Amino acid sequence: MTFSKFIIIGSHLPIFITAIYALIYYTSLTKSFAFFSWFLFLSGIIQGASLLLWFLKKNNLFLLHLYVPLSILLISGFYGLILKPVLQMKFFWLTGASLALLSALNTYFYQKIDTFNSFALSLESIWIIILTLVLYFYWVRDGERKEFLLEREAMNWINAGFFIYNSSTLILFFWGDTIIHQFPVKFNLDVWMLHAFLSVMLYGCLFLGVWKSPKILVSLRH
Amino acid sequence: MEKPQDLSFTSALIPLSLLVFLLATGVVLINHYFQKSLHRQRLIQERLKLEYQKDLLKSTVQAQEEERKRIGQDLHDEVGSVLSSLRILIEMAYERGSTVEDKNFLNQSKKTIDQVIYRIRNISHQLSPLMKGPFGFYDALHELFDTVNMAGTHSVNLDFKENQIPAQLSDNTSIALYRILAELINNTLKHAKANRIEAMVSYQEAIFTILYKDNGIGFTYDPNIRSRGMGLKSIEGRLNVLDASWKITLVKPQGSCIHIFVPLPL
Repeated sequence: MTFSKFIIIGSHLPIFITAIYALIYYTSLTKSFAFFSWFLFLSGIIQGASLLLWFLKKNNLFLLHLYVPLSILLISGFYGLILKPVLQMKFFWLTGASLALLSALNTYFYQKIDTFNSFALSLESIWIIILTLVLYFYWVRDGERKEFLLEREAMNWINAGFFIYNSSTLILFFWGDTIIHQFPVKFNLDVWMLHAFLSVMLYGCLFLGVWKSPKILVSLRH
Repeated sequence: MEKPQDLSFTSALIPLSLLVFLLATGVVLINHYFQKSLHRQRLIQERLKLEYQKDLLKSTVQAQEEERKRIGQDLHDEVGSVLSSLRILIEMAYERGSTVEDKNFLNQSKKTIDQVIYRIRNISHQLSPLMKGPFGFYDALHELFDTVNMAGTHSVNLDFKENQIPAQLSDNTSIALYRILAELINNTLKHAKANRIEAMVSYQEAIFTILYKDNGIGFTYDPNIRSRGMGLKSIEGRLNVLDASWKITLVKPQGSCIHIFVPLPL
């Protein structure tokens, strides 16, 4: 096994660890973090399946077409819950649903299911960057609100992870389809190694976020 | 074999991603620093606001005390002296009285005036207790407890020896503590259904402690509930001005126990 392959496979470990941690503590997480756990479960399942297909040398790109709209919906909902004190939830749901629909249309009409859906992924990255910046903006404006204070430390990690990962990978995602089809394998490995590093950083931040999130008694959640 | 334009693209893509990564990390760090500094500023503002509120409360309490002192002195000096003159006039009329009925009537009037003078003196003392120096506080407290004892319905015991008076006890602190104890006694008499009150005063390691106990039905106290009585709010305000704290515990099988801790300058 080459170094690049080792790194790419190893980068899946933080995803599984974070998803398993969220599963263990699911019942004691706050409403918003319990919802966010579903994104982690989705990531864990999709990444696990893609790794398996990669080992079997089968095309795993169709998983990405499933992952993008679902993750857009889950992340939009999560940010909607976090920003509920200052913004209406329906704004997040409507935008998230519209982007998920665009992603599905892209799969149906433009970038077929067995290709890299670079446009949908780029769109998702831009949307997440916007969400992270909106949260930063409201933290500066209404940062001392007690609704924010409870989950702030945890959200700081998650928001920073999403912002850094999506800003850095936006270019890679946008050129993803071109890189896969028109560039040599070595360059592909280099690019996906860089992505693996960013993914480790992202899931490291997400793990810290879920770890630091406030834990509550089950009977008090609702 | 890579084409020249492919090479330039490949050589730019990864560094560009890394550059964006560094920029994004920088943005996150700057934001973190900015938020921390904003939070620090808000804490400073909050502290200043609290200090201002405390100063305001202090001024209000001082103004209230001065007004009470003025009313107390006016009652004592003005009304008291008029009543004393009236008493002398009645005594003179008694001397000149001819019939037994007149003398009885004047004697009764004199007794009533004596009662009024006594009550006015008490009210005047309560409004402006003589609090000059630490011994003033000692005397005023004993007088307060004696007044309750004299009513005969409650057994009140104050354990406060002269050698326990700290020299650093200022007049303002003395008055505030006197008012707090008066309010606690008032609450016990009105609501606690108690027949025994005990108070102990001690001073150790720059902390002046008052322990107040009764054998009544006790009461629940939650500083977060806004709908507290005026008496409790007044006690809280005075404790706040003194930088003091209090602890309320329920005593089994009945009664409540209140500890008041007042830091005094060394």
